Amino acid sequence: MKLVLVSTRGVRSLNSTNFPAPWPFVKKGAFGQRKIGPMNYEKFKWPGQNREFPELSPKFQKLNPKELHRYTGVQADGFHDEKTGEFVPVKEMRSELVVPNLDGFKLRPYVSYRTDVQIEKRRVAYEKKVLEKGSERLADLHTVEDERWPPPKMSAETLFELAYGDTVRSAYKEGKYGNK
Amino acid sequence: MLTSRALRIPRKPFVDLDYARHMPSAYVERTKRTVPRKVFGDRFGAPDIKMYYVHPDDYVPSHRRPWEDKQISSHLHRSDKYFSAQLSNQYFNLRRPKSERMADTEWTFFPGDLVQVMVGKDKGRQGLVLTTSRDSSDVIVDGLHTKLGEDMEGSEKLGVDKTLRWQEQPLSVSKKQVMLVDPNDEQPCEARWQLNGPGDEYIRVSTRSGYEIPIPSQAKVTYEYLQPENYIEVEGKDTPADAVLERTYMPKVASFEQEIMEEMGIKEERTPKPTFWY
Repeated sequence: MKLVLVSTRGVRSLNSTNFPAPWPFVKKGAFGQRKIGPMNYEKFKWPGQNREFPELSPKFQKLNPKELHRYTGVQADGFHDEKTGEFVPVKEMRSELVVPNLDGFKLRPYVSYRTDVQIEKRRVAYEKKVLEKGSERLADLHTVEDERWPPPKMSAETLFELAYGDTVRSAYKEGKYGNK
Repeated sequence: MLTSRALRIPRKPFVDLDYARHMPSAYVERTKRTVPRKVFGDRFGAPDIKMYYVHPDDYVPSHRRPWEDKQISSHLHRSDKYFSAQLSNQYFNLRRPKSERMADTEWTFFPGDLVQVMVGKDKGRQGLVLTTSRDSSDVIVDGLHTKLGEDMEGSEKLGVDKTLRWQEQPLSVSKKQVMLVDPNDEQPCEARWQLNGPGDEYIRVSTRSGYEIPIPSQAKVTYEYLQPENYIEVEGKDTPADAVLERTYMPKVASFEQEIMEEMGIKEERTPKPTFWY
């Protein structure tokens, strides 16, 4: 039953048997029908103590689980038909790279720290406007939307207003929502 | 109204002032070795059990940054000893008492401040703060509270003569070994944060006289810049502030996938299955 060679001289070693799991109820010596829950052998399995297995390998401990048969590390582009035994390629499963054109793209990997200064200026100005007008709605009426910080939130009401607001108003004026 | 009232409470930007403000926190934790070595999850909903390299409660803060050369060597050495002690442990070992770090909202010392030393041979003398450490609640004053020490250890092996230098030692703020100087009468005082007259900004005032102690410009210095307005942008790597804050979002009634397909010219050729609404 021992999975690891245990020293018979009574010398403590670094084998996993000497370091049982912190919880005692999963594996207390009982097997089969008497076990309480699934047996999770975490102590000596992936990932290792110092992340020595960055990827899951079927060769680890010669386990080769069924789910990892034919594991190639890439996405499959078809399936094996059980009836005919042939490989059926599927167009939707095949990866197609659609790359946008980034000529003249302005964003860079990093953000300048001067941005914090700009944000602070905008925040101070907006807070001053809010204190002056008394509420956020009134302050928004007197603020350039691009200069507001924090930027206005996009809510369902705002999206509805932008997409269907004019249509609903004109239909209401034409009397399409009457009780008749 | 709740939002407006919350907006009227001024923020406390002094909490974030630190020389190493821009260091990534994951990197800092890794240099401290206070990261989990192994996480035992999958415990039927019970919280994960984490086996740390060095438990955060056992981390010993010091004045130096954790990523400095000697500091990181000592941290690695300590994590090795920590693991050996855990493996060979036969008895329950009480952890060291938690380091009682001062709250950031009560910290009133910044680099460039004029302070007075209250202990040691330089007692009563005033100097400028060189560096601060909130983790260990101490401060290094320029040229004061020094101890004679070797400048480069082990230099004689390299053929260089031994050089001695007076090295500043940290002064504890929580034990009041160093105090701020009141700008009114040049005497030591305690400080606290208080709203100014208009009530729109927090200022640091002396507890005794009520005079404001201005924050030196050196407090805003970080690894990256002396002043954020004068940050030197790297061409081709830093995005300018105008490009960052440019607003390009156009609201549209479409899902993200639909928007991308439309923009990239991707056509949907399949006929979807009919759907029924009941």
